[in-house]
Amino acid sequence: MLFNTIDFAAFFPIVLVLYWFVFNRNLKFQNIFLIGVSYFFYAFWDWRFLGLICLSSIIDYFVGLQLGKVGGNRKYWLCFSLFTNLGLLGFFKYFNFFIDGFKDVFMLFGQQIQGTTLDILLPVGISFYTFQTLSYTIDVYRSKIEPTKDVLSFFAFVSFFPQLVAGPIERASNLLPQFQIPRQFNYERSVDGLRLILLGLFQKMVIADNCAKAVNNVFDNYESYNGSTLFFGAVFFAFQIYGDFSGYSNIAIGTSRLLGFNLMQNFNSPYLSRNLGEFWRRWHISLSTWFRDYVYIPLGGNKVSKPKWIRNIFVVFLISGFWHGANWTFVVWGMMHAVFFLPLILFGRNEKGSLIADQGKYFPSIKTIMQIGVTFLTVVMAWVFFRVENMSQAYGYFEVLFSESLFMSPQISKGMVLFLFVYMIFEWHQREKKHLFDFDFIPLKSVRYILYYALIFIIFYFAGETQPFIYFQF
Amino acid sequence: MKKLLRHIIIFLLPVFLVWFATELFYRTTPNNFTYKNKQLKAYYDTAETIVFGDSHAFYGVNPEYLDTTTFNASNISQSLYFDKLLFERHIDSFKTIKQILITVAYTTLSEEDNKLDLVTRKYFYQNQMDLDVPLISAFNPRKYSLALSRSFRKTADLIGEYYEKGTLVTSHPNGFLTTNTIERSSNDLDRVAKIVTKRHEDNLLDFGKNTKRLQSIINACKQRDIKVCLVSFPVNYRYVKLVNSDKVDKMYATCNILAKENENVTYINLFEDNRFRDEDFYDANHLNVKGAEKCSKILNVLLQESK
Repeated sequence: MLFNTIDFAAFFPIVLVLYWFVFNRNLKFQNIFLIGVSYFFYAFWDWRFLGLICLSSIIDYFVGLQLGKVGGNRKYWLCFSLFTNLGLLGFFKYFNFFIDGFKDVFMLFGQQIQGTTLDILLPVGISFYTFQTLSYTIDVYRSKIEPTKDVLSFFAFVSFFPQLVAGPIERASNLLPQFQIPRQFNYERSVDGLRLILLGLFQKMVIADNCAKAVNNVFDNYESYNGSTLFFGAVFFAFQIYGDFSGYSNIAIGTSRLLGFNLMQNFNSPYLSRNLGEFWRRWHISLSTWFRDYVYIPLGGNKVSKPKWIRNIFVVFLISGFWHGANWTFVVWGMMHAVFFLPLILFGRNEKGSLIADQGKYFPSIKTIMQIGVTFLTVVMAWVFFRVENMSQAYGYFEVLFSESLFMSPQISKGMVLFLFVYMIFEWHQREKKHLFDFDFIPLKSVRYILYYALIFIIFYFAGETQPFIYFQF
Repeated sequence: MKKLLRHIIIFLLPVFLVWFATELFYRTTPNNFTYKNKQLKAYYDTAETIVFGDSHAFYGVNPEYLDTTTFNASNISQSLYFDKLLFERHIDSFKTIKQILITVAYTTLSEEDNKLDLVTRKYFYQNQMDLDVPLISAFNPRKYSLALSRSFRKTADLIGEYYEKGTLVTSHPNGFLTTNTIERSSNDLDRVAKIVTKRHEDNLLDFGKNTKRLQSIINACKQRDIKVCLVSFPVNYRYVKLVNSDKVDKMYATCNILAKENENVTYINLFEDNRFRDEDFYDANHLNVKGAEKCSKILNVLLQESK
C-alpha cells in the first residue's frame, strides 16, 4: 500500500479511529492492533513475505533474551542473529549478483563454471527491517539497552507500518520503549504530524513524480539528447530521489506522530549542504548514523591513524553503496562519495559545525552559495551512477554529458527548473524551522489556512503520474 | 483526539465538496464510454458487423465505407481483455450479427491485463459500460467513485474541454472517431515513431493468455455462427522498422494458426502494407481520415471475398 494512494487514505483514518477510540484502553490490545494493521499493510504488497518479518522478529526476540543472560555464549548468539538476518538479506538481494560475479571472475581466468541464477523476488523493505532488528541485537549485546521480554512490543517494533518498508531505520533504544508505555494523544504534535504528511505528499507527488517523467525520458533516450539536457536530467533525478525518499520519510514520521510515536528525522535539507560531510549528516540520516554506529566506529572511526581513517571511510561508503542494490553502479556511487570525501579528511575540513548556514541571515553569502553549488554538483554527478542500469550506460551517459553539446540549449521544461529553484529558495528560507511546512511564523490563522488549501490544490493539480517509491527496491 | 477529528472534518469539507462536484460531473457528462455503450445497444437490431479493438481500429475503420451495417466498438487503449468483456456482455443481444472484427496490433497479444494505460480506464468500463471488471477488487474505492480514478488535473482539463467544445464525445454514431482529420500529429514522423515504439515495447513474447482469450471469443462465435476477422492495421514503415521483428513474426504466426485451425476465422494483415503512405497517417501508427477511408474500403473488399 503506497502512502500516496486512495487505499492508504481509506486505510489510515480507519486505523486511527480504531486505535484511539477502541483499543486505547489496553496497551496490549493497542499493540496487537498495531501488529495486525502493520501485517495487513505489508500483505497489501505481498503476503508471502510476511513470514520473513515474523521469522526475523522471532529470532531476534529470542536472541535478545539469550544476550541478556549473564555469561553464556553471548558472542555465538549475536553471530546467529547476524548470520540469519544478513543471510536472508543476502539470499534475496545478492544471490544472483554473486553468482554472476563468480562466473565473471572464473571467465577471466579462462574457466567456465555453471551457476544458475534464480528468479528471486526482493521482499519490500527487507533492507530496512533487517537493519532495524540488527540494531536491537547489537545494542543488547553491547549492553546499551536491556532485552525486552514483551513479545508484543518487540513484534510491533519490527513491523511498525509507517516505517516498515522504507524507514527511517529506527534504533531500538528510541522506538521500542515507546511501545511499552501507554500512548498519550497530543493535539499539537498530531497537527504537526499532519503538516509533515502534507509536506511528504507535496515532495512525493509534485516534486518526485513530475521529475520522474523527465528523468525516465532523458535516461532512457540519452543517446538522442545533448549534454546540457543530460545534465538537467541528472539534476532532475537528484530532486526526484530527494522528493521521493524525503517525502516517504515525512509521511512516515507524520503518520507515526498521529499514532503517538516519535520517529527520528531522516532528511534535513540535504541540498543546502556546504560539503559532502554535511550532506551525509542531512541525507538518509537514519542509515548514515546506523553505519556510523555499527560499522564506522567499531572500525575505529576517526580515532585512528589517517590511512586507517581513510580506509574506514571507504569501507562505510562501499558497504552503503552495496546496501542500496546488487549492482556495480551502486558500488561505484559509494566509491565516488568516498573519493570526494577524502579532501575533507586530508585538509581537516570535516568539522561538525552548525548545520544552519549563515544563521539568522536572510540571504546566503557568496562563499555559502559557492560551497552549496559545488557540493550539489558533486552529488548530482554521483547520482548518475545511482540511476543508470549498468556501467556501460553510465559510460555512455557521461560521454554525451561531457561533450561539446553540454553548452547547447537544453531540451527540458524550463518551468520545472524554475519551480525547483523556487523550492530551494523556500528550503533556504525555512532552514531554521522544525521542518519545511512549519508555518508558525505566520501569525494569522486564516492566512495559514489559505496556505494549506493552496498546498492541497497544488498537490492535487500538479501531481505527476504515480510512481512507485524508489527506495522500495532497496 | 475528538477535537482533532472535528477540525480535520471541517478543514476537509471544501475538499469533499470538490470531490462531490467532480463525481457529479463524471456521472452526468456523456463521454466515449457512455456514448459507445448507448450506441452498442442502439445497434442491437441492425448491426451485421461489430469492430473491437484499440485506437488502431478507432482511427482506422469508418463503417461508412463498409457494405454491411457496422458499429465500431473500439476505443483508445481498449485491450483484448476489454474486447472480450464487451463481447460477452453484448453478443447475445445482437439479432443480425454476422461477423466481428478484432484488432491485433503489435501490443495486443503480449499486453498485460493491468498495464498502466488501463489503470484509470478500467473504472470507466466498470461504471459506464455496464461491465463487471474482475480486475477491480470490491475493496477498491475507485470502483465506486470515478472522481478518485483520475488525477485532479486530468479532470480539470476534461471540464475545461467540455466547456470549450460542449462535449467530451469524440465518436460518430457509428463509432468512428470524430476528431480524425487530415491533419498529422507531427511532421517529424521519425521522432514520433521512435517515441511510440519505445512506449509500445514491453519486451514480452508470451502470447499465451491473450491467444486463449482470442480462442475463447472465436469458440463463442463458432457456436453462434459468427465469422471472426482478425485485423492487423497498417502502421507507418518507420514504426515497422523499429519494432521487434521476432515479435511481429510471432504475431503473424499466431493469427495465421488461429485462421487455419478455425474455419470461421480469417486474418487480414495490413501491418506492413505498402499501399499506405505518409499522407495516410495521423502519426506513426494511426491512420488519418484519408487513410481510414482507404483502409475501410480495402477491408470491405477483403471481407466480401472471405464470405
